[in-house]
Amino acid sequence: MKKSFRYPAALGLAVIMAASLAACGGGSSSTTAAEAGSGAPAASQEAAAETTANASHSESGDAGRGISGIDTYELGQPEGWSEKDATKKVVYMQTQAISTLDKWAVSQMDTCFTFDYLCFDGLLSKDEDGNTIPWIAESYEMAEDDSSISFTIRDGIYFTNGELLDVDDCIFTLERIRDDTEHLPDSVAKSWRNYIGEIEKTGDNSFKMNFAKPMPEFWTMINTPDIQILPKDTYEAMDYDEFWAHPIGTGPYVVTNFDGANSLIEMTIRTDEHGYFGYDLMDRYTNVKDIRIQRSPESTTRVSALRTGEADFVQNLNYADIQPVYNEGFHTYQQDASTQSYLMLACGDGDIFSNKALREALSLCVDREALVEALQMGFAQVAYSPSEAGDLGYDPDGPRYEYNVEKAKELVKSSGYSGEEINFIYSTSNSTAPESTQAIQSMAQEIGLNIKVSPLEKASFDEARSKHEYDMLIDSIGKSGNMWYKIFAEVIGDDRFNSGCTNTELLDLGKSMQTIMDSEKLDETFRKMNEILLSDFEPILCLSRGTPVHAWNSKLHGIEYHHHKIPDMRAMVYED
Amino acid sequence: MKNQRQHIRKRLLASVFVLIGVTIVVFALIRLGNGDPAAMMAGDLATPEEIEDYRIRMGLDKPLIVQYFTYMAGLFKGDLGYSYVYSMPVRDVLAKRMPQTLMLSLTGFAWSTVFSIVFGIVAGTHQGSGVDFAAMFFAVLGQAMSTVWLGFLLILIFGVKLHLLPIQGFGGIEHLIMPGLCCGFGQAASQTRLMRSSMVDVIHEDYITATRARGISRKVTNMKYALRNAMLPIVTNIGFAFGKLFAGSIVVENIFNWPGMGNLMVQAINSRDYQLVQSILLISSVMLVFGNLLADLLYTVVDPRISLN
Repeated sequence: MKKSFRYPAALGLAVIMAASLAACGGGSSSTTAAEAGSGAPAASQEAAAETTANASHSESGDAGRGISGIDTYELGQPEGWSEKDATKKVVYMQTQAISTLDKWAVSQMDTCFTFDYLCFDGLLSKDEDGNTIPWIAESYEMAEDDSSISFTIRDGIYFTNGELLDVDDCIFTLERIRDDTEHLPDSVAKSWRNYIGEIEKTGDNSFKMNFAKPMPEFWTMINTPDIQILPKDTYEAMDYDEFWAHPIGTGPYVVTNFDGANSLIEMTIRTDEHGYFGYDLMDRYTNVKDIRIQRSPESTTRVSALRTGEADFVQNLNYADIQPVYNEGFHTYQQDASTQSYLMLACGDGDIFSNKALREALSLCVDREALVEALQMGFAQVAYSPSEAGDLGYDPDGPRYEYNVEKAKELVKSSGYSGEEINFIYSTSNSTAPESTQAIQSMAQEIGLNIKVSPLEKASFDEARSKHEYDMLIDSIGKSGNMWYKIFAEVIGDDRFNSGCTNTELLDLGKSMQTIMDSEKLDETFRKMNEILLSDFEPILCLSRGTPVHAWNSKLHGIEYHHHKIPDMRAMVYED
Repeated sequence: MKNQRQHIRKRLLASVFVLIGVTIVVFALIRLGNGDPAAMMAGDLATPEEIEDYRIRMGLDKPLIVQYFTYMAGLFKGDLGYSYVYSMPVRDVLAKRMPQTLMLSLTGFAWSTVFSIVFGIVAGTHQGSGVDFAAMFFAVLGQAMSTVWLGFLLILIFGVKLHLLPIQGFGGIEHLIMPGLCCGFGQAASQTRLMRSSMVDVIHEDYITATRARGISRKVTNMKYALRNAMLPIVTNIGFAFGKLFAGSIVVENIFNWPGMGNLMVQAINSRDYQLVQSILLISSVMLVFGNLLADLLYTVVDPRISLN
């Protein structure tokens, strides 16, 4: 190379490096919204000071961790307001593919719940604190023996196509889930299908649903838009695919474009003469005319879209992004636990972990608090049981996992374990699993356990799990319905993941939960199961409950989660 | 010309067999791998009976040979099968995704090809100059830089900091700039290096020295006599690059949330959407075969010594 080019070359390299490093500092904590440019919102502190004619806004939260806290913006419906006044647009970027709008057709469709809040309504709903309140049904009464429930339907609720909702629509909706096996597979519809018995029309505005068998999850599912009431006549007059391309509900928004192949839903607010009954009932309103829900799988892209103003509301921030995003003036919200992470041990006859001392040793050597602090940066809760505050069976003073490495070492010695390889599998679709697995492997190594970690692609992981081809695995279960119920009744009671557990008392209790509706009895069963789990350490060791953090433009108010993992965006207000 | 037509016919016929081979290999490989698509569709907590229900719905209860011939029979009628994940025919899913990927791939392919040829020629004919250094620097940087890093860097600079370009999604031409740049960057870098070294090799050949000794100008010598020979390795590379670009946009599509085949491929593999995976791989193979055929034809244009006979 000619000497004369060396210096310019070195200078060029230095400039490129400097530019790259400067660009990588995009999330610097010192950056403010004003510095970031016109696309970004004003800082929350400034927004807090602002007041508008009919609204005031303040926030108090956990600023040290980058969490904004509760949004106390006044959202009461202004006098004379109507849906026609709405003018704003909100773009919500979330992580799931949206292949259909009929959530009963495909498993794991959380986004459909979000959509259902906007397009449909359920018989009952939840208030801000998560309590069950009447909704399409203005009253309800459960039979004393829990064998049936009667609903009386509210008058004057209209579908977006102008049809008046009546009791036949409600009955049809429930019957569709029970009977339409062509479009709704058992594995998805079973959470209701297996429990809906005969449905009787008991009056012009009332009906009774008999339970085919006790439904333990009923009270936690009936108050979400899980059962989205459909217009019977319209639904029957249309082809299935045609209806779900532009579904009709009683909700505040109508679908203008659904593109399943591109995971995109576009909606606009209904402006028919009837309007949305829910706004009056909630004493809320919205000024958001259009909502666009789209998938964006990369977290960094979602956050960047929030920064540039291409998105107004984004789901699931990376832990490292939370504080910078908060400092830039966006509203950050830490939701209640949405996933329960646990270790499952193969503990059947002949398995390494059939040895109780070894199971206990493994439990003792896992520093759960360190895992939460180091790997989840504190945005999770250490889990001592599959239940969290507010769930049935939650006991704040209940037994706890212990962390004691010395005791664990002694147990390993006394167990007769002679260094056999322990196959620890995880699914590569579980984003937090690689680090957690490595940390647990290293903790277990300290007490002398020889763990081999095997990352498996999701389908292979499922297969290995179902064929009992593991000694231990890390997995998590989502909160659609109740995490505690699914873990106790299905993962343990039915031994769904083939742990080989032979603890008959635990298994029987798990199975018995499947037929209990009475909350006191469920609570009691849960406590017994939890005691066994924490004394026998099989087949699962709870680790932590993830509490994802979402972010939105600080001028956007009124997004609610109702102590669930699904955002309710019906009554959003965008400050000018 | 007659020979050329015959050659194309032969190659096309051979391609049909190659593609049938591809369908067999893909069909076998995807089923030999672990993972049960019925279990994936049924969800984590499905019972064995519910999984079996899905298996029947998806036609996976039938013998493999029957499944293969059903697929092939459909293929010859233009039916690529049904995606149970998207609840629609595979053809419809691909129809919504393929144009976007083609647009992205062709953008990356076009700019990287033009840029690398021009830059490589200039660098090769000005060996040791600043342009040559810049070309080599670009070549090393481009090959060393991960697409993920480049993508996020572009997003931060042109989207977040400068607010010049949209950072994600599909829309107008402005949405295409960053992902298109990203898509062709690695290819441009490696091809620039190839073009440059090929050019350097050729201009040191005796016949080029002889041409210059006859008084023909450097410009004419380079463009008329050196370039054609220097282009041969590039043509081979372009053929492969064309096929690779189509399949290689997976990372770029994820970063820029570009609704194309790359995104779709990842989802399809993860959910064991057999028929969708088969179709995507088949289309990728068609592109690769087409790219190679194109390269063969271009050989005869750039080097008349090569006869298709």
